[in-house]
Amino acid sequence: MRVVFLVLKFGLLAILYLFILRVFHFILTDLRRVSAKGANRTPGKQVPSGAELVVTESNDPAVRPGEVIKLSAATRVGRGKHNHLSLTDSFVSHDHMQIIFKQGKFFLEDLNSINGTYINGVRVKEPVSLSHGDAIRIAGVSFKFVRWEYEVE
Amino acid sequence: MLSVVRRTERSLFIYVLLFLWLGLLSLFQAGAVKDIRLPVLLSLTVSLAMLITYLLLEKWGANGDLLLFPLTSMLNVAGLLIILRLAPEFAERQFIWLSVGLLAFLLTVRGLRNYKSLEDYKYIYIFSGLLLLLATILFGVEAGGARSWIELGFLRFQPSELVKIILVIFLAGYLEEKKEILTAGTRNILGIPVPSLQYAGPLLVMWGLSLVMLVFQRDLGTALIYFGTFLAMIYISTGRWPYIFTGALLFSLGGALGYYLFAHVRVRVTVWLNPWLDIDGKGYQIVQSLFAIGSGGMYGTGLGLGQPSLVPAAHTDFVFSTWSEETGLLGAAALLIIYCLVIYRGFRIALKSKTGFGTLLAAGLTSLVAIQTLVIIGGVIKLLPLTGITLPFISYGGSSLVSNYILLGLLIKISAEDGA
Repeated sequence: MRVVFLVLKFGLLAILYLFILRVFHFILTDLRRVSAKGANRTPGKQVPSGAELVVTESNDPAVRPGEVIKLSAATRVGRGKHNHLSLTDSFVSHDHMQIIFKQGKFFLEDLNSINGTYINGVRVKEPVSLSHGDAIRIAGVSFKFVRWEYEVE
Repeated sequence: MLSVVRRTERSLFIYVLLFLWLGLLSLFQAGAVKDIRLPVLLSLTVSLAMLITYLLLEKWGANGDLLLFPLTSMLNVAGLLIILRLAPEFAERQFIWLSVGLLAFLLTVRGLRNYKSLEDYKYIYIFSGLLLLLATILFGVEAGGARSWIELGFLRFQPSELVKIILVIFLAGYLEEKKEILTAGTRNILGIPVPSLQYAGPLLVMWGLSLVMLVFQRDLGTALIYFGTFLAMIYISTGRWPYIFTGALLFSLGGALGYYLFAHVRVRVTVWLNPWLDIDGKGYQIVQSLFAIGSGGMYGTGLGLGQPSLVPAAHTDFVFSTWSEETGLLGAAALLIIYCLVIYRGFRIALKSKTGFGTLLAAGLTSLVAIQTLVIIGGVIKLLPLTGITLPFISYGGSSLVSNYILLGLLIKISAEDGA
């Protein structure tokens, strides 16, 4: 009788832990798959197709709310015509800011603009890495930074 | 890829069912269940219900998170075994609630076309939630010092369990809308951004709501869960620690107020600080719980062989001590690991969500489970003052079980829409 209880007791614990091991195994394979996917996407200077700016508010005739700006390896924004995105508002500096893709992340750098660039209401002083959902404001134009990293091949 | 994933889920269910039946055998061997017919019938129903739920998910091609359901099923099965053993008279009812819960789970996964639509009517939801709470305060019945049940003829219903999900939905929508202002603040005091009153409003309203729960329903545990979840969500949304700091300060203030105003809060705290002073009286519960956990040792006494009848409320609030007694440190650790995995999957869904609303919703729901687990297990092992709340998916309690299954359905829905 004692043996039966012992077998049942440890059998139950064994099932619990086998179950947990199995879940761990699945989680590990899952994580490996995700990290393998991420590693394939970042080599060299390939254009990362993983992010965009969505215009949420604008008093600038150059862009309309809802407009989507795809981000490349380096995207420059300013009043100058040579920029990837050129705005017309006089509060925007000639070379206002740029977003660079580096080591799997997008960094926003203010190019010493007069009126500044704001992320979530905080003025940018040095390059800041952007995360999904950040609100970026330049003069009267607001953007939302959207990252869709793992969904697109 | 999908078929591999499916096979994983299927194999996990074999463990869950094996655990249920072996556990039942153990209970029977130990003589913990007198009449074997009813438990066998109930276990058969549960096995079937879980398999049907799983097969339906597979048939519908619901491609959400596939680990959450097996994980919570394991927790649920553990809880059912304990209830069968401790309170067979409640077992039948708990099995009915489980079926209702599974049905609610399926309805959430299938019936809700798009989780983002929840955002649209957030004010209506929170209003109805507040009405429910008000109704509890006015017409509620008291049990165990807390007045949080509504009597509906043959069954009792605890609205605060449902309201907590409504609250998370509302907060996710609200915070997503007001995120920028809450982050930046409109004024600065001592270098800390302070939003003006109209935006700090929700913080104060939530604080008030938790205090109302505390004062009128005398439900310390639920108040703590509400406020904790709220703080977690506001931090996730804004990334500002001053909110946590101020919030914790406000809650301590409220707690201190409760301590001086209400005898039952005072009792809880004194008993927490030193239960040995009044072992036979007020400290009885917690001392028995500690004895139970201690006597379990490393491997436990074996399911059905402990003496959980010595612990009061062993099938609801103290389910964890019974479990620890009969499965030992190893069993208790396994349970905690499973909770950690559930929480890990929840936050993973939050990180993967494509919308701010989805992220906040998933993170909020997960925080809810995490905080609730922490508060009740902490209470039972005398790490925190004891508050009478349920252990998610394990404790006896219909409202809790059903709302936890709705919560699970929402998480799976978010992961299905945004890619798991």
